[in-house]
This record gives sequence, structure tokens and C-alpha cells, in this order.
Amino acid sequence: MVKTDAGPGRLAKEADSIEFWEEMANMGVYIILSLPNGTECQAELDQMFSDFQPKCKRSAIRIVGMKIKSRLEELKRAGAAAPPISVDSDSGSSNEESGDENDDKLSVVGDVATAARRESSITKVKLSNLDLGHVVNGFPGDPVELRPFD
Amino acid sequence: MHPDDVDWFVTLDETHHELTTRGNKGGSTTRRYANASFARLGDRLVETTSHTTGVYGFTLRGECLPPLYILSSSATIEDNYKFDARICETLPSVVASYGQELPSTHPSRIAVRRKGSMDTCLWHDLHRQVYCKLYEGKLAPEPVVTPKHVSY
Repeated sequence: MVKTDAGPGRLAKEADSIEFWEEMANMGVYIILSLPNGTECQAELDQMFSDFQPKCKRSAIRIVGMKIKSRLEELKRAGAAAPPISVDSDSGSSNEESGDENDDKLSVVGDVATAARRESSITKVKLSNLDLGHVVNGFPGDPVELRPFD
Repeated sequence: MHPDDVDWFVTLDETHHELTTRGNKGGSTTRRYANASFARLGDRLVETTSHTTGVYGFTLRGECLPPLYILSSSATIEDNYKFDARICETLPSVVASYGQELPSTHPSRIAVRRKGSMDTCLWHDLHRQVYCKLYEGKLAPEPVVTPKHVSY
């Protein structure tokens, strides 16, 4: 018995879904839908998500903190940490691991001060899908309170 | 309910994983780093434009099903969907038996979709290729009223 909420492939408005239900039932798998608009009172996983999601969010904040620390150390090593700490002036969206060639281009060409400030900004960090595993489940060796999935 | 039945009741749901430092009330919740020598330009909010969905489930016994993560892609053609394989190194695995004799380790699954969310085809494949295989040899179209290993 599979209990799930409504969503793609689960309602019977597509012929594919009806055939799928039939196929599953022939195997002995019965899919039942939870009541719609029932909030989390009868959806066990929604109850779990209300604990899980804030922990994942704290995990994301922790990872950003670690990246900022790592970037600060990198800048220190490179001797480029002057001014020692600067505020990031870039408010543009960041791209994921695919990389964006335009990301390093400045909107005002020749603005050397902005370039220097941005290059030395310790907050120029990104979260990407490569961080997904750490957001969801921390790092190996972390105490269980820092491993949301576990 | 008989304790033997708890492996065959499964609940599933999806949730959105936000890769962001945005708090519930908006704005950044990261620590602010500032230098008095410079004008304060506001908080740096770290967030991505990608959409990632996590599909989780567990049995009535409390065993977690292998999670599925659906990543978004900017590619318009399905053949061009791709992701960095290093993602797999850090995703969680589950150790569970699902009614089998011995527990085994099951890694997380990854799918790529244009919007990073569930669709009909993926939902069907998830059951056929993942969940049903966990119960291989343990599914029957008719209820097993008196399992062989149970004596009354």
C-alpha cells in the first residue's frame, strides 16, 4: 500500500495514470491518495518535513559560513586580503556549478575600485547542487544533530 | 495490524530543497561581515536559481526509502540533461530490509527534469524501477493471509 499526496501521475485524469495503477495493482501495489487540503494532520511526511526543512536550512547557512571562512583563508594566503574584510557589492544572481562566464564581468567596465572590492569580497560564495548532499545530510563525522537526514 | 505487515505500508511525499540562506521572513540569515571603513551595502543573500525536489518515503516499520532528488536543468532538449556526478558522493544512503531477509544499502537516486519537479513519467519510473525492486519477490497481487513462516 503506497500512500501519497496528489500530484503528477497520481490522479486519474491521464490515461497513462490509469494504466499505471492497473499495472501496479496487478503486481500487488495499491496506490492511495491522502485527503487533499488536509494540511499535515494526515500526511506523515509533511509532519516530518516541518522538522526536516528548518534543519536543512540551518545546514545551508552553516555551509555558506564554512565557504566564507574558506574563502577568507584563501584570500589571506593569496595576500589579497586588503582591505581585510569587505562587503560584497554584487547583488546579481549566482549560477550553479555549470559556471557563468559573465559572472565575473562587471556592469561598469573599468571600475577598478569595484573590481578590487569584489575580488576581495569574502561573501562571494555560491551554493550549488554539489552542496545538496551536505545541505540534506551534513558531513561525515558530524554529530547527528547536524545531519538532518540521519 | 500484524507486525509482519508493517513493511508493506509505504508513505511518500515530495519537498522542495531551497539552496539559499534566505530566512522564512525574507532576507539573509547569514552572519553579517562588515568593515566600518566601507559603506554598508546590505546583506549578501546566497541563493540559487535552480529548483531541486526531494522525494522521500518510509515504511510503517520506520525504514526510509531511498530518496530521489530531482535536479533542474536549463537544457531544453532532454538528451542534453546532465549533472555533476560528484553530487552522488555526498547524498545520503539508507540501510533497510523492506521485508527481505537481510538489510542492504540503497543509495539516493537522481533525476533531471526541466523544472526540477516531479512529472507523470518520472513518478511511474520511480515505482517501477526503484520501489518495486526493493520488494522483489515479496509482492503478490493477492493478500497473503497466512504467510508460510507464521504458525498459529
